[in-house]
Amino acid sequence: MSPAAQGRWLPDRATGLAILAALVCAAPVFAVAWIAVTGETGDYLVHLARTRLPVYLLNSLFVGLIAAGGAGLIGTVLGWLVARTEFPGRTLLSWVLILPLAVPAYVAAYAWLDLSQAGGPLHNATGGLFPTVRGAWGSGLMFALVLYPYVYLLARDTFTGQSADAYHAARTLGAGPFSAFLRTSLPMARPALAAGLALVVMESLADYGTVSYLGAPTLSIGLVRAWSGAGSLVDAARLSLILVAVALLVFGLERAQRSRARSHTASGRHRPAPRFHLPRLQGLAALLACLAPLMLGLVIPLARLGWLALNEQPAPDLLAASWHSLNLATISAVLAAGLGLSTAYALRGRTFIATASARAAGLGYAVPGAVAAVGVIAILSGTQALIDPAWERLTGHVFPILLTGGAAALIFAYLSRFAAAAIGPSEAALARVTPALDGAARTLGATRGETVRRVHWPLIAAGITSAGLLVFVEVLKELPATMILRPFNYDTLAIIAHNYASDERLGEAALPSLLIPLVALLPMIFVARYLSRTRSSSGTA
Amino acid sequence: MKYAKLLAAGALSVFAVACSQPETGGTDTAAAQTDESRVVNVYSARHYRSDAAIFAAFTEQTGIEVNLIEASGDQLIERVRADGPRSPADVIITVDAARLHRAEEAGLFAQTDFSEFTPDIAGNLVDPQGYWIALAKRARVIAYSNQRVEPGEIETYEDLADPRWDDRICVRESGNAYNQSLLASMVARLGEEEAEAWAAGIVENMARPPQGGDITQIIGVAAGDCDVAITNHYYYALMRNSGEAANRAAAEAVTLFFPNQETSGAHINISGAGIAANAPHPEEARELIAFFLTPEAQRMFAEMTNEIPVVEGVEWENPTLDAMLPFVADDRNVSELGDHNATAQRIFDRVGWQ
Amino acid sequence: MTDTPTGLRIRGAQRHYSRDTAALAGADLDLAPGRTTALLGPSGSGKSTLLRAIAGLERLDGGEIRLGDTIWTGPGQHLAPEKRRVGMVFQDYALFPHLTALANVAFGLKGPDAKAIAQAQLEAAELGHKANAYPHELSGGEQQRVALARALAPSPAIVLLDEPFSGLDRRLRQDLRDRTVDTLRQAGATALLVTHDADEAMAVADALALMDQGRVIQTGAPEEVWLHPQSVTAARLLGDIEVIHAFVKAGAADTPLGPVATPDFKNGCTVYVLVRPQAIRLTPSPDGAFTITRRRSAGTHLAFTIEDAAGQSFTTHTPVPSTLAVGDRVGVALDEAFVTVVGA
Repeated sequence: MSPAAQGRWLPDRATGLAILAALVCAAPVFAVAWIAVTGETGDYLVHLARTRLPVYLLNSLFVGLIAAGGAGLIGTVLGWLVARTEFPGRTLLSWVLILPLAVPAYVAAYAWLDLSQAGGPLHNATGGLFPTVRGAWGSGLMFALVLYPYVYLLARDTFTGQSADAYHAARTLGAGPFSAFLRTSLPMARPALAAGLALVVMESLADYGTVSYLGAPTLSIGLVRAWSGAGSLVDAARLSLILVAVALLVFGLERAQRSRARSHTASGRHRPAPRFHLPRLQGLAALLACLAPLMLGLVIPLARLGWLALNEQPAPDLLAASWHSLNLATISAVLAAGLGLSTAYALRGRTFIATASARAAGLGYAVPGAVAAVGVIAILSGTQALIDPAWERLTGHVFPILLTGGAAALIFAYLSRFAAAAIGPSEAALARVTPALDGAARTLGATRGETVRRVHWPLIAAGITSAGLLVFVEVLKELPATMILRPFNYDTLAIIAHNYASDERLGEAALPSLLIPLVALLPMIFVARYLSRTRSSSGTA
Repeated sequence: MKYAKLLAAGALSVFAVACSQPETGGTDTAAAQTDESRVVNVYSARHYRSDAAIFAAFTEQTGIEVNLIEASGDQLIERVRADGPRSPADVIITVDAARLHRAEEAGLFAQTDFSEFTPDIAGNLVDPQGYWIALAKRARVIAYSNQRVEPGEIETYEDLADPRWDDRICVRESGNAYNQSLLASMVARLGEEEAEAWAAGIVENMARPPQGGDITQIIGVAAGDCDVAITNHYYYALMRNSGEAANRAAAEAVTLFFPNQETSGAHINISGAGIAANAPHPEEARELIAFFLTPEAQRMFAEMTNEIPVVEGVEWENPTLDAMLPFVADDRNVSELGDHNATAQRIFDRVGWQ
Repeated sequence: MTDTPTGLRIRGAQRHYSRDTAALAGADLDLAPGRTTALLGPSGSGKSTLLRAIAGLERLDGGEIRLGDTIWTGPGQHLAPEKRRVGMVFQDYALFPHLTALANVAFGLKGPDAKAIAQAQLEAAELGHKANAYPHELSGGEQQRVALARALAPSPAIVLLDEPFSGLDRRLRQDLRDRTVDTLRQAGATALLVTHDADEAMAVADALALMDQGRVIQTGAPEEVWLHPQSVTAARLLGDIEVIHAFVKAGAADTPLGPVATPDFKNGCTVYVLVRPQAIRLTPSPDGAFTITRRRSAGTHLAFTIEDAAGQSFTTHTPVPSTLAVGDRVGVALDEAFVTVVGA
């Protein structure tokens, strides 16, 4: 029986607020669409269609496919290994594997191109055999290496919570371990994996820095060229609508495929799988499998930058920038977790408007940061244009706040961009709370609030905290929106790293680039320990 | 209970961060200002950390605090435009003449009388209508391999389109503002058709698809991937003086060449500034621009970022830069670079310059 | 439908989870071919562990499991589950939620006829019309039947059922129990059904095995085990029992309910006299040794609690109807058919 049949979960006001929040996050995308639709028509797009548009689309396709394939493979396999098997180093690796997410893709790209280009150390050491990391495949590889944690996190949480019995049933029915995995555990994890893959694809397509540096002209590059080269922001907005359309397509495909099949056992009761100890050789292989993406996506690029940093002076204001980065990321993460949670609850009611606003909020992820920032500016300046004259008429004074002036605009942009990263995991987490649990709690006398706190929260804590963590890391790395919307004298680590890196001063970019994952390490450790405490106390360890 | 405290702390910090406010245009803060709190709000597309030293020197000399935002030229333009009359921008600085031109077209600059500075500055580096002025110059030139290219083999940019350079050229992607201005200057000089032919020739001659920035191209020449690279002059200077041995070695393997010395002059671009149309601190803005054009600041440009000062007669200590000068520069007004930027982009699209 | 020329043999099965807890402490079991054996024991007795060990889902730390001549688990040997021909019905059925009922049943089948065979199985379970339903669209009972059909479809050598009726209401449970027994019998399957419910175990089993603390403590036909438990634990597993600690004197154990003949025990040793409530016959007697202190109806019988002057009380079952009431003085007589004596 669907939760909707159980009656409304939240009182209408709370659902309404959640929907409102989701719509506010969707607003910048709407603003971009508005710019696209109402702007003057030129012939640049027609020109583009005749010249570069097919190349842009093709490159976007390749980059997206390679990123999704790579991240999907790495994230699923590692998520399975960490969730269901025991091998040396598993506990530590369980959360260290998330770290590559804190490496901006373009930082990895700078480092790898530097290493592998003609004249670079890897190229020289192998006599030219080592391929230069470049083009669509190089970009896709970079994305796979730094974005696989999206899939990994969701896969790990899903496989941990999955009932072992289905897998074991498959074994008794004649399926070997791999076959049983392919035919039961994997399909049952598909919604979570799909959510992770969607994030990977959208972030890859919206990226500008990596693909521009490695030479893979995707749609987002065409978009920036329309703005910066041809000088037409309107055409850039139109091109970004293509990206939004792709996002809608990806969403739609996933929904259509799901049809009536479910991913959770019907009875809702399940036996969490005890971990299966791998024999020595296979355990070592598992360890190596985990270390490989860490080496490629995290250790090698940062080591290269660190090496280059030895010859350079550290930038003077890194401490302040670290503080700014931490501040912004924490605030955004908390707000995003709240947003994800409230939207997930609103989605339980399965009303059309809740679903529509949740999807709309998620679209912000598909839009390149620079364009999303333009949307935010448009909304804020439009609001300002409404408030100023009204305020002046009312009070006779000028409205004191410039909406785009403080960090609030920036946080608004972050929430708008990263709502998807918060809503998806929250939704997946909340899906595990069955109506039976709600009923049990309520008949035992718990109010709605108490039920949320004492019954839901321990079960969904993992998912919601993961959502907050994802947004935290995203905000740490974020570049284009931060560049355009930040207040005066307010640099972040990503900005400093980019300023140097874009000038190819990699040695000086090294330290801020290294600090980003280091700063991300703090909440990761905290979250990992909090989650293991919660999980063991709720008895699902 | 502890959640309540956590939430309260969080809410307070959100409030604090979110409500930090700059002084904005349209308020009556100008009158409320005292001498101790003089500020100037700078929107700069220069992303060189060394600028901090220049601003610090300015503050020391004048007592004016500098509030700084750095972003790309187009992003800054969009932000100032959207903020409208309430924009807190006082000075807008770009690293590319085309962006300067765009800002002017968008009406972001106030018409200023720069005449007190212009005697020492070449005329083509100042907007004829007084909306902006150049602060420093950069030349987009050629670096060729010492081993595989003879001096005198290349004379002009146009030479590079010749088939004999097939598979021998490294250059970065077309989206880069410097490439766009280079092509724009060729459109201005040669007309659209010839410029397109040139661009197509370059694409034919590329040794590899564009990747990386200008330094990557120089390294490519040194490593033998190609024989000729197109680069801004200061990247070469950077590599020559780099702390990284590999970079130094690469710079020594190439020669920096300023083309078109007999014809139109080497292509130059500028880092320029203008006073914002709705500047809340126009006086301070003017002082800042004036400071940029003092010998002291111009010397800092030359020594710290290897840019070429626009003011004549400035002295500096930079042997690498000295070795490049003097050279014949294109003397067309740089505002033309902005006029033809959109055309350049379309040419790039048509010839498939990635 | 199944072909098992020989049965399953388990000898000395051992499984430790930590130094002090042993899930299996040397369990022995034989499954007769074509028969349903019920494995009865309290939670923690190791019955699920033994089941999973038979399926190959758990390894043993010691002991052997073999099917006929084939060793499934032995020292240094462990045949993977997919290579054993076991069908298993899990406690929560473990139907694949992403597959239809038909696809579930066909999962273990290979070849072009898979779908047809699966459909036939569903028809036999009277669920042919629900072939395209997903598990969450089926009722609990229907899910159980699909789970059983899925386990039987590949004609397994052994069928294992792990508390397969525990989630259902009483009427449905009985109905399903009967169906399951019929299905297994028709298939000629060798089945092991694990449960903690004594009534259920006795209702389905051709042979009953009792398990406690990792060991099989008694096996036999259900009535036999019920009537003649070999230990206090065994007795308690199968229903209400009164356990009386007594001395043997003059060839009989002296109990408050009267002497019980103990031909197998020497005088002077202590024994446990195990008395089923049905063994205690009550006759109204004004100077009887016991007084009725409680009367409770249990449908088919009345449960009287009797208490003697020393305060010892016993539960008795008396067939209905009976005129006895609380406060009546009664005399007791023991029906030795329902009494067993075991050593202390």
